[in-house]
Amino acid sequence: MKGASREIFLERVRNALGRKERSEPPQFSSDHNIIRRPISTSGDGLSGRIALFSDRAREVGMSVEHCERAQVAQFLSDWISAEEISTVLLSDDPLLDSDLRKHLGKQGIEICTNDVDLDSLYDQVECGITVATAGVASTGSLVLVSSDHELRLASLVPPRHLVLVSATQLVEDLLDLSGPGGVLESQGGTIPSSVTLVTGPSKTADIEGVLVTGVHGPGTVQIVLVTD
Amino acid sequence: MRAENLGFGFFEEAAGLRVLLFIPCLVDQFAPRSGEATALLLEHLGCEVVYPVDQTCCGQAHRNSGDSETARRLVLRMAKIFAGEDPIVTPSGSCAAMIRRHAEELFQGEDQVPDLVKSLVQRTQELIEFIENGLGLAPDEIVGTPGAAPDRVAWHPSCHLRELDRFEASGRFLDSVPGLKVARLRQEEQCCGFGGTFASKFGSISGALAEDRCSALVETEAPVLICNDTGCSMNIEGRLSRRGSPIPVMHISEWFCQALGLSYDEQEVDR
Amino acid sequence: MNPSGIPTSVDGEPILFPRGSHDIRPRAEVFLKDETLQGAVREATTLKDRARRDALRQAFGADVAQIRTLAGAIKQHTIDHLDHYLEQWIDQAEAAGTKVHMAITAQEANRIVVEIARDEGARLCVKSKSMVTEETHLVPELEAAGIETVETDLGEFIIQIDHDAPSHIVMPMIHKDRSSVARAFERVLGARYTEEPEELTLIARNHLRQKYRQADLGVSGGNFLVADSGSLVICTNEGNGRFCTSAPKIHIAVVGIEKLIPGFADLSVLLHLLARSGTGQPLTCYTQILTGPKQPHELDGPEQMHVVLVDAGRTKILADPEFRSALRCIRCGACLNACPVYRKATGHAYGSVYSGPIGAVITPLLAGIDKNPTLPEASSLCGACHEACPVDIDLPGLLVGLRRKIRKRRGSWMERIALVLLGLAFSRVVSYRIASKLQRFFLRCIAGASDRVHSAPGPFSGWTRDRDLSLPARHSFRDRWARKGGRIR
Repeated sequence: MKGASREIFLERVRNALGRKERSEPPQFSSDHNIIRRPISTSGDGLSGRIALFSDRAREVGMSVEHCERAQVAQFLSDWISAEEISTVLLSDDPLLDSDLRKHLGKQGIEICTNDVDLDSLYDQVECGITVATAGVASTGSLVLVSSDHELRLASLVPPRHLVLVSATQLVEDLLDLSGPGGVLESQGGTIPSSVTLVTGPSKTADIEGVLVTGVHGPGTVQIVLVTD
Repeated sequence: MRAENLGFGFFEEAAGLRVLLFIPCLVDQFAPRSGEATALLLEHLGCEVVYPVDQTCCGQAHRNSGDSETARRLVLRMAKIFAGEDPIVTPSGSCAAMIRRHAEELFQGEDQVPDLVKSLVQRTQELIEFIENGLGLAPDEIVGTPGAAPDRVAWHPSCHLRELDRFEASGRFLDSVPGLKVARLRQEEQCCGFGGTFASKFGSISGALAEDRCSALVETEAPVLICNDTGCSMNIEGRLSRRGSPIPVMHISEWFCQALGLSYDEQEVDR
Repeated sequence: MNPSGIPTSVDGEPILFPRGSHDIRPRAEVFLKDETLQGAVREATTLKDRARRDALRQAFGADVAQIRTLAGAIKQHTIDHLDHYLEQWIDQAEAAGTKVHMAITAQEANRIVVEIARDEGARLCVKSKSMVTEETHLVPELEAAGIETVETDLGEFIIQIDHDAPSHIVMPMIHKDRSSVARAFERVLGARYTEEPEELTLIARNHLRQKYRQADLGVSGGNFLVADSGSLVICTNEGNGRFCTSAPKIHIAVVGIEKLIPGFADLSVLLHLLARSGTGQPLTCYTQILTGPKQPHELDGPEQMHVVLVDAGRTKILADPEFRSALRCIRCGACLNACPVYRKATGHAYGSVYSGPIGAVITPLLAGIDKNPTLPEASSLCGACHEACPVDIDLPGLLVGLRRKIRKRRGSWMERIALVLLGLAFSRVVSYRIASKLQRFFLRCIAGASDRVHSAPGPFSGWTRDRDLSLPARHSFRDRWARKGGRIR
């Protein structure tokens, strides 16, 4: 550890606050749920979350298609050929199974996997295909998580990103990500080193306020919402 | 002061409600006509208007300049002069905001605010706020003679209305005055640049903001601007004069007096 | 002038970080005359200010005020107990494998980063946007140490290669037009001249991708530090932040200590407000929550994650209960977009990394009032900034507090006398009347034969530069009321 010692650094802060020693702060009591917005729902709220997520994601410039689990392989390969993509990077996920690889193989699509070399990743792969851990309905965000089956760079380097998310993994609001079972819930184990919320294609308006997409990250994001 | 009431409405519920008139120093010196019109309007609405003669200033200029000791003295002085239970009404939003939002903080700690000052803070309201909340009147209950006052005006919301949560509400009030078309200024949320001593100390920035306001006003082609803060009026009138766009600026109370046929002395300068 | 013809100094003082005491006025004069700049800044700020209001109203309706109050309370609570939360964050971050370093001064922060870079033999650094590193001037230090450092945020990249300086917290090149970018790319990157934003962006993208591939060090800032998990949160739109924190094998984040918040529930509240307040977006395109370096089972990510916590005067602000709330700031830029003074003077007039209302408050607090006495005065106290602030900082109140400090330390004698005389005038009706007679007399004199003042002397000349001044009425309201027999007490 470089720089000032922890004791000295913290003592400066304590002195500034007029405290002699570390103390527990009073409980901060406030209902954060005020940021939740009512979702018109029926039953367990799933259809409401699906509708809201789809709307919000489209509003920020991502495309959303709904697809049943059994149709995923066909859907993906149709999409890839319609987009005239010839090289993809596939994450290692049950949704992206051998069925899909067979389809793509038949069309002569080149499939890179997680052991792709950097040159191919930067220069050849046109589309990264990944699976989101969750989606946030109120903001239209995808939750991408670092893991042993998906590269961080898979959803970042290629100019296009196709991302699948199961409808059952949609949560209502950001608050739910740290709720019971949420990806940011820290009880019982460490959280992943990188949790990224993707809320739109890469964009900038730095040059005279003109909106340009695909600055560094992918310029197109195609979401496939998988229903059972 | 007897009101010559040629209007159609009168207000029995308010009859006899005594209000204390708080006339800011700028109104007293530069725009007494708007003070007079305010008093006339309040009387027309059934209030008994009383003017505490020893009043001078709310302390805003000193507070804004960082002289909180003098500001505190002036607030305390005002609290004594306006002591009692009667509502205090002022035509100026910035002075109402000074009292309501900044008077108490001049006294260290909540428990050190004298009761007199707390009472002052609770009772002070800006004119339109008082009409809406204090008297509970909607604009369509203050009916005037069609054509007696300009039926199209531009509206300048002064910044201090924000502190009173009246920025949008005041505009809405005006919008609902029957027979009145209100032209909103482009970028009405942008300060006109007055800000007290700011206008002189940072003259070029202030002047540029005043010009923005004036060109937005000219764009509306409205024959008159309604502006309820004398600082803002002096600033905007000053720029209108320099750029050769002599559009009259009046306080809302003056518009109502004209609409209601209540006459007041419109002359300012005798030459 | 620098190679691209941008003025780098006014009155012999550098535009940013003037050496001597800084007066916003001469700089503002320069920028007020630049019509292109005025148009660009007016359009950008007005657009974003409206977008903020629309986005918040659309998302939260009538609850906006309450949510802002909650966000302000969360930040205030955290800084009121910063000792506890900071220590908790350090413990958690270290448990997750983050190497935590602490810098008391700006120089120390730079030294730590350079040392880490040297220790690891870094040759090329890719950097994403960080206000605190602009404060500390990190980039020149890295370059002096022989480490090529490339800003990757498009606006900052352009500013870097054009030897310019950012003029807005969130939109750093709000003051530059496309032709200056075209010329810079042609000159520095050898690119074909084009003024199309899409083509210019593509040129930058291709150039920077080479850097990501080769970089051995990534430096970033941080928007939030989450205490109960030891996480760092970075909010960006372009994707360069993700590259800088994921591609190179070492990631160093430089973060001010005021960025602490207690937990993820609090983060949710602040995230809902941050982008909406700054640009009108629900969230920025990418919200990264980083907790430690790549874990053994994970496929990629940095092998080392360092966080340099920076004080650099923040404990000074913390120590003053009157100004402590300035540390709530989440650097959203909303106050800049709402501020009429910022809109006219523009960012570079503030002579500091932080401009606009928050800049006018923290620059004197961090760098000293003596160096920046005009910043707190340069405000009409219109309150637009307070209304815009997602964490409910009473910026006009803080400016008045600074004016109080300034008056005590270095008020001009002329102003002191004026305030005393004015105070006396207001203390009694008798002195008020005398003062008003004197005022009327004085103004009539300088008006001459006209019915208004066209040219006032001395301190009032600022008014009459662009405006006339009407004369006081012959009879004050007090006199009128008396004459008409109005009720008094």
